[in-house]
Formats: sequence, structure tokens, C-alpha cells
Amino acid sequence: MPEEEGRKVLTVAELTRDIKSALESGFSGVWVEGEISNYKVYTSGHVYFTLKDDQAQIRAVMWKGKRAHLKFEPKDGDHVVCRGRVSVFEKRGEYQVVVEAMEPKGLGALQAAFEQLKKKLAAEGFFDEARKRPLPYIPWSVGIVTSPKGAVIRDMVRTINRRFPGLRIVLAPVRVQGDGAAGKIASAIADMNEYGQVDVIIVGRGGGSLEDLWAFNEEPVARAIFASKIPVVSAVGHETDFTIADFVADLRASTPTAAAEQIAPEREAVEESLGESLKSMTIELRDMTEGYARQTDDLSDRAARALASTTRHFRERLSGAARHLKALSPAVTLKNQKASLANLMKGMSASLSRTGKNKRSESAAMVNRLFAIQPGRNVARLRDALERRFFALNERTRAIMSDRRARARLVSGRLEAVSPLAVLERGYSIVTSPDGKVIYKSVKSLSPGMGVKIRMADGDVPASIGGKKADRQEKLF
Amino acid sequence: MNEKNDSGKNLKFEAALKRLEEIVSKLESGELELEKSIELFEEGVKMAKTCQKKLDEAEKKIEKLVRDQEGKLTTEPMEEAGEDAPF
Repeated sequence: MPEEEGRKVLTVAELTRDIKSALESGFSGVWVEGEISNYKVYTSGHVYFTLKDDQAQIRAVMWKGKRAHLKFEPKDGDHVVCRGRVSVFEKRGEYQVVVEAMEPKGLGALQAAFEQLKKKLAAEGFFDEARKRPLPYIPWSVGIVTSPKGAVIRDMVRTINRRFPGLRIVLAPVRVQGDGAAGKIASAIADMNEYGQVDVIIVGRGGGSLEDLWAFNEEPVARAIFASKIPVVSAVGHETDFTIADFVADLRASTPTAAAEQIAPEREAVEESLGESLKSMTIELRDMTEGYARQTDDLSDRAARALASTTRHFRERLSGAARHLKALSPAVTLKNQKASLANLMKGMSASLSRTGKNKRSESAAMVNRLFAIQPGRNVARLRDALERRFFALNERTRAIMSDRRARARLVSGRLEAVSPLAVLERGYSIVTSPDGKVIYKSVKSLSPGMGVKIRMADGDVPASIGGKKADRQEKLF
Repeated sequence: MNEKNDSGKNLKFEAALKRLEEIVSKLESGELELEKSIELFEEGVKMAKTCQKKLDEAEKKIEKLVRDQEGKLTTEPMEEAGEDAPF
């Protein structure tokens, strides 16, 4: 080794050895914090990764034995604090931290980003309960934004078809993780809105790591959900995973399958409630019509009675009037007048004998006046008037009666058309308790051996339940 | 083309169902005249039939949202046997 002017020249090995000893003794026990990246577990069980911050990075290794003591499973992006020593790998002139212990440090960078975005969107009103829209009762057309591959879409389709066979499903296939996934998901949501023919949109993916689900924590997805005019259901990962998308969505489902369950009602339940509505309408109307039938019967009875009594009343008045008339009849009057005439004559004869012939002409004039009164003429006029009024009255009562009858006929005609009995005529029957007080609407209320009554169009028949067959209820249509 | 009225169909169903529920509760109130009740009953039956008809019309379809050559969004059936088909 040549020496010049006190210069000391080292070989690479010597220098490296010096560095190694300086570093290893100078950094034999250090604490360092940083973010993990390139975390890789080798088959040997040793772990190699890089610790970094925004200015520098350092290689790190954790031997199998130390790794076994970790309380958590580190992964890329985790912000950690490590205790270890620096060691130099001479052959490659590299140094690294040999990590002996590691613990998570506060929130990772991703989580910090999550909290930051959440705060920002909350301030913009993205999570307001007031803007959450109700889901349609039946989403005839379901838009799904997810990966076309894998179990997630298959499970959702299966669940929707099981609950409500017949719903249309429109899938917007997208990548749900990795670079650009958030943009793809966001534009698929916008596309669904542009297409416009879906009633609800499910956005989701299956379970995975925080990084796998990350797209659903990104701003474009949040904004697309917020801008959607169609209600959006988020369904990301598992029960315990919460993403920004979940907070913005109109409904957060814990899993994709749960989302399918929440948007699709059970078809049988829908049909059953339709049947129930019809049944209660029929029962209400039947009760009502029976009440009205009784009332119209009552009314007809009362009308008939009233008419009879009115008629009787007028007959009585008429016959009273007739009696009165009879008393006033010309024959009677004449008789009376004749009698008084006779008296007068008698008186006149007496007076004649006294006053002589000159009085005779006077009395003849009086007789003439008497006859001029003619009471019979007035009586005939009175009787005519009375008869006309009685006739008019009769006509009116007849008109009232026939109108009431026509109305009663009309009502009962329509009753027949809507009567539940007409339903029975068509072959339906009603199963009730033996006393007919309870109508059994569900097989659930029946048990084997139970006594029941079956009501058919032409009568009732007692029966007993042989066994239970199915839970399914008969539809009304 | 005829898919255009899908959301309309939904509205109609929900409207009919809502009307039916209204009618049932009106009838249950027992405060109506017979004529009005019969009228409502007939309307209710019509509503129920409308709903049932919609239910019967629903037909299972699984489609994929795609853009056509003019860039307009439309759907095409998912290929049942295809590599991508999840069904």
C-alpha cells in the first residue's frame, strides 16, 4: 500500500468495516418512526420493508423471531415507531435498521386523509340526514356499480332474484380497487344518472384491506354519490368497514348482500298486503251494506206504515166531510125548509084568516125567495174540491213510495255486484273458526286437528285441519 | 325504447298502492255514505288490479350498461355463459 505525504489510504473493506463499526456502535439502540412501504414477508419468515417519511427512507428488516412478538400485522401505509439498531451489510455497502420492536404510531397517513376528507365533506353538508332520500318501495330497475367478476355481484343478483323475482338489474362494470378505481366508480354513478332508467343504485365491493377499499374513501366517489339524482346505497366490505361513500350514501348497507336485501322487498309480502287491502275493503263494504240493507228495510217499512196511516187519516177526514155534506145535502135541507115552510104556511093560514086575501101574494113571494137560495149548488162545488185534493195526495204518496223502492232496488243491485258472496260464487271459500267469529287468513293460525268452518257460496261445512303444508298464502287474484 | 317509462311505471305502482291504502283507511273509518263507499271500493279494486298487473309484468333481466357508437348510454344483455358473467 503506497503512502504519500501522510495520506492514509484504506481499502474498500477497511473503510466499510470502519463505517460498520461506527454506525453499529453509534446507533446500537435507536427509536425511529416512519411509514411502512414495500412490506414483504419472505418464506423464511423474515420481513423486509422500507421506513419512510416525506424526505428520506431507510431499509429495514425484522427477523422471524422478533416478528412473532408483534401485537399487530403491519402493512404498507402504516405509520409505526420502531426500536432497533443500525447494521451494515458489507458485501453490498448497504445499511439497514434491524427492527427489534414495532408499534403503530397514531393514525396512518391513509387514516389521516380519511379524517381530513370526512371533515371537509361534512362542512359541505354531504352527510346531512336531511338530504338522504327514501328508497323506492319497489325498485323495478336496480343499477349496480361494482366489479363484474367475483362473488359480490353474483350474491347480489341471487339475493335480489330470491326476494323479488322480476326486478331488472343493470350492471355498470368497474374496477373497484387500484389506481384510477375511484374515477371509474364515480363516472359509473354519473353514467347511471345519465342513463336515468334505474330506480336505485348500489355501489359496492367485497371485503378487503383498508387499501383495497380505498377508492370508496376518495373524493370523486363521494362527489358522484352526492350529485346522484337517483338514491344510492353503499355496500362496501364487511360490517365493520366504514368508508366516506357510506356516509354520503342515502343508505349504508353493511355488506353487498345486505344491500340487495334492503332494496328489494319480498314479493310475496307485497302481494299479500295487496290481498289484505282487498279483503279489508270487502269486509268493510259488506258490513256497511248489511247495515244499509237493514236501514233501507226499516225505511221501506216506515214509509209503508206512514202511507197507510196518512191514507187512513185522509179517508177518515173524507168520510167525516161526507157525513157533514150529507147533513148539508139538498134533500135534507129541503126537508127542513119544507118543514119550516109548512110552519110558515100554517102561520100564514092563520094570519090569512085574520088579514084576508091581500096577505096571500106576500107569502107567495117569500116562498119564491126561499127556493132561490138553492143550497145544493154550493155542496157540489165543495165536494169536487175535496175529491181533487185527495186524488193529488194519493198521487204524491205513490210517487214517494215508488222512488224509495227504486232506490232500494238500485242499492241492492250494486251490493250484489260487489258482495263478498259473489267472490264465494267464483269458487273461493273462507276458513273460519267453528263459530264463524275468526277468519283465518294464514296457515300460521292453523294447526293439525283444529276444528274449522269452511264457508262456501251455498253454505257452511265443519272441517278439521289435517296437516300443515306450506307457509304460502293464496293470492286474491 | 319501451324501457323509457320504467320510472313512470314505478311511480304509477306506488301511486296506485298509496291510493289503495287511502281507500282502505277511508272505508275503515266508517264515516262514508254507501254510494261513496261503493265508488271507493270499485276504485280500490281497480288500484289493486293495477298493482298486480305491474307485478305480473315485471320480468327478470340482467343487463350491462354500455355506450353505443354515438356515445349514448344503453344496455346490452349480460352473456350468461361468458367468462365475465357472474351468473
